[in-house]
Amino acid sequence: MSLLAPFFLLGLAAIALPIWLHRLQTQKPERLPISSVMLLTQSEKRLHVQKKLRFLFLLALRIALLALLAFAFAQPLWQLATGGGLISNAREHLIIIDNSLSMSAEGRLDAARAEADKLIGELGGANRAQVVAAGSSIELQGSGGATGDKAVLRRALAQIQPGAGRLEYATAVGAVDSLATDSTLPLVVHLISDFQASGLSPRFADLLPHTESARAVELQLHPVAPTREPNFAISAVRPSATGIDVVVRGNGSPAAPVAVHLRVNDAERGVQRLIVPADGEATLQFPGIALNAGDNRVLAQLEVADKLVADDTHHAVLQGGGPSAVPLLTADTRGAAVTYVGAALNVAAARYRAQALRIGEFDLRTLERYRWVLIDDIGAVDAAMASSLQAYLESGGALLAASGARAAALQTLPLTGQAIRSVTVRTADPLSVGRVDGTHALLVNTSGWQNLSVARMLKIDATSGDRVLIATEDGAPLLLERRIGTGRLLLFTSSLDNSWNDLPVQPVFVNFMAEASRWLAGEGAVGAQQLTGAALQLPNAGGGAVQVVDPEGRELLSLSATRSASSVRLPRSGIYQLVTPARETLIAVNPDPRESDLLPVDEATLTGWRDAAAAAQVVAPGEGSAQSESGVLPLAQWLLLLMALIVVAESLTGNWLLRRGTGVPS
Amino acid sequence: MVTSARQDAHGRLIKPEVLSGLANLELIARSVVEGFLIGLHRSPFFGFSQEFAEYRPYVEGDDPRFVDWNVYARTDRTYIKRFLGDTNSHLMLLLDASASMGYGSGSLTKFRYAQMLAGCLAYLSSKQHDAVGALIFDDAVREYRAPSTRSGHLHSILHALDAAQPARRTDLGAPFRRFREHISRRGMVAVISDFYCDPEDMLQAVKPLAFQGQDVVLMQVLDPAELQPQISSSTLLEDMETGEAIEVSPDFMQREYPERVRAHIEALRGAAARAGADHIVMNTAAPLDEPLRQYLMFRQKRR
Repeated sequence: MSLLAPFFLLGLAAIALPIWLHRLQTQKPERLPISSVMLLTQSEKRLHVQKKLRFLFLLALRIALLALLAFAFAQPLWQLATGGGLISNAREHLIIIDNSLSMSAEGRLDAARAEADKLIGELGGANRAQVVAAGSSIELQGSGGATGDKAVLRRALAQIQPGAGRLEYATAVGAVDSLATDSTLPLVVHLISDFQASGLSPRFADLLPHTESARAVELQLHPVAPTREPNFAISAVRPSATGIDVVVRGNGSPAAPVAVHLRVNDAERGVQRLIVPADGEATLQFPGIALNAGDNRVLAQLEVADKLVADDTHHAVLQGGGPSAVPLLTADTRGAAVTYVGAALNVAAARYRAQALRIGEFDLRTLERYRWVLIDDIGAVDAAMASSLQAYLESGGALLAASGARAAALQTLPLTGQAIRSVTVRTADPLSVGRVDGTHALLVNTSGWQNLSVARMLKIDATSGDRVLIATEDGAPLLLERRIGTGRLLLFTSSLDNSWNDLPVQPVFVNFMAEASRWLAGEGAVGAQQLTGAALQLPNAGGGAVQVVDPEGRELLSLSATRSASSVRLPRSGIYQLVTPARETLIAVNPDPRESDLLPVDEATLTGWRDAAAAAQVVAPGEGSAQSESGVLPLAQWLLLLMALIVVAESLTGNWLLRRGTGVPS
Repeated sequence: MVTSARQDAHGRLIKPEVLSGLANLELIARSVVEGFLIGLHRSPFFGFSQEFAEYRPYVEGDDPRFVDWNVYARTDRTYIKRFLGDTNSHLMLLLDASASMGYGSGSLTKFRYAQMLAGCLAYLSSKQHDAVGALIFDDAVREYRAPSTRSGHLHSILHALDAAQPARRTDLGAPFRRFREHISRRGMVAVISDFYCDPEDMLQAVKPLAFQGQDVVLMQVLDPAELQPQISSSTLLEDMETGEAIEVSPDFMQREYPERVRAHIEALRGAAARAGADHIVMNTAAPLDEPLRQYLMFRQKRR
């Protein structure tokens, strides 16, 4: 027999109430003086004892009533065999082995395998089991589903290899429902792990297994690394003013000397040694390293004696050659827009520098050299330039176009073809921003748009392919996005100088230009740094093929997947290449730094987790079919029937005592 | 005036509760006894009062106070004036002042009733020129006044009776032994108590007095609620002397307990008879005239 809600047994404390009330009753009789009790002897004492005995019977009925009530709420279950008899304690066991990066520390995975082997060895009778490896992904080992065949299970166990990803325990426990078979046998989840403190969810509720079906789930925790072991890891590789800095972090470690070997573009660039303070961080500087223009592959290798070596290597993609030029096409290279935009980019984005070019003198054939382009007045774009820009955008280019006096004189906008309904002039009473799409990557980190005042702007209608990012209080689009091919167009319907609005002098302008430069250059779509085991979201190539090449040069996507896949998993550390029709991007993939901290969950937390899991062995109610299939007989209704009988008996007894005049029972 | 004070409009005797409201025990005793004696003149018991009987020559040893000086003036001889009720006996009042005597279902406790009864007996005896003494006891002698007819002695006895308060436990043995050591003359002994004790213990205490030639009357004072208790629910009764508490049901108290009280009274009466003593049961709800009448009958029987 098992209890679905054993916490309700705390209700047994309520039996103290009738006991207390009966004690009050025994003390309740009126106390009167009498000259002598010498004539009130044995017979009356016997009568008193008889009355107490009757009260005890009433008390017993009441205690039984409350105890049954608490027991009924605890939902006891009696497990029956399909044939009707009592069975076995047959269970389905889900043996989840943590194979995240931290488990590759010396001896940990072996200990986990040994623990799993022991569990497999203890299987007997109708018990069945499945082996699961849990790292950055949760994978069933073997293909036969749950089985009682120990040889099959041990083969599945042997397939588990150290991973490089990160395991969140909530993820592993949350996957139980999809991992378990459709059986209605009670499920026992064994989680074998080093139980890193960093992998714990802040809420126990997220760490409790549950299934949608009506089956009991029990969670058993098997820690294999009870103590914290010191570990060193490279936490960052970054460019510095003089060269490259490598940051080494010690986790739970004493002060110790470390050495770091640095390779740039597969060439050895030196070794640096330093003492990392206890449980602290140290930066090793590699001065005098000049990076090539564009992306550079950097590899830092740590030389230190610790048990976890997988995090001693760190990959990075560093860009050399200084900031990239972004053409700012304008009719007046000395205009205010050039000044404001140039200053904003200088302050906000070190990677891009505005290069003011007279729009009539710009060689359109060089457009492909640039990741994105600026135009301060889209009205200055003639038909030839519109055609070139269209082709540039379709092949993956990006454009930020603003409006100006020339656009105000047109009926239709070049490039987009949108009709200009009017030019709003609100000099005396400027418009303010009415709506900002805060979910867009471009605007998610900007604020202060409400302070913007717009005195003049083009009034156009957004088409179905446009996304209005900012609208004024009268609903007119102020900033809209349009996808053209694989390229991106941002259209600002007011000017980039302070003649039509005060945006250039608002604090939000610098931030906006920084975010716009990153978004237009495609940095928001694919990060140059990714974590091992993470899923890389592939950019929308607008129908074009996308391919990802792993550090060994293998293509990760099949031919068909190059057009249809939206993401790809990065299974190991190293430098990956993301190839799109527009450009080629290098991505450095490194282990999650939280895996490097081998601090285990303390025993008190583990105990709390176990207790919470034990208390939450809840079966979804009302699953009649599952009940009959599994032979689980709820006892609650029988207890309620028994309670009804006791209520009748209690009422009759209490009434009889009242009529006897031996005191009113409480 | 006194008579009218003791009678209500219908001529009935005033209840003891009303009398107990009078602060002065001497006033109570005088009111009761004077009224009682006036009533007695109208009754067949006339002759018990101080009625002149004869003169006899004064002999050495007689109390000079009883010399009729008018006769001496006329005849130059000394004669003693004698009355019918004058027997020159003495009365010893033994008052139980144990805690159980403090019980009272109404405003009047058994002890207050016993105080008034003892006061009346002392006053009546004093009127009879009997020597009166008093001994107040619980489990020991707490107050003792030797019998005497001296002027002011009655006041002393009434004061001692009035000052006594019920406390402690009852034990007839020790006080009675002490009493026997002090008393030498034969006389009457009135023991006023609720006698919540073993009748055999009472017999052992009283019998030596009878052997000593004392005429003993046991006046058992009981509250009406002790004779016929009235409780409506289960009640915890606590002994006023020992503190022991026993829970009782109304059923038991209304059926069985009165039978036990009657059996106890009969046992006391039997034990008293064996000791040659009289036994009178007094209900504190009854007027004091009745015990006084019974006392006089007892006194007459002794003569």
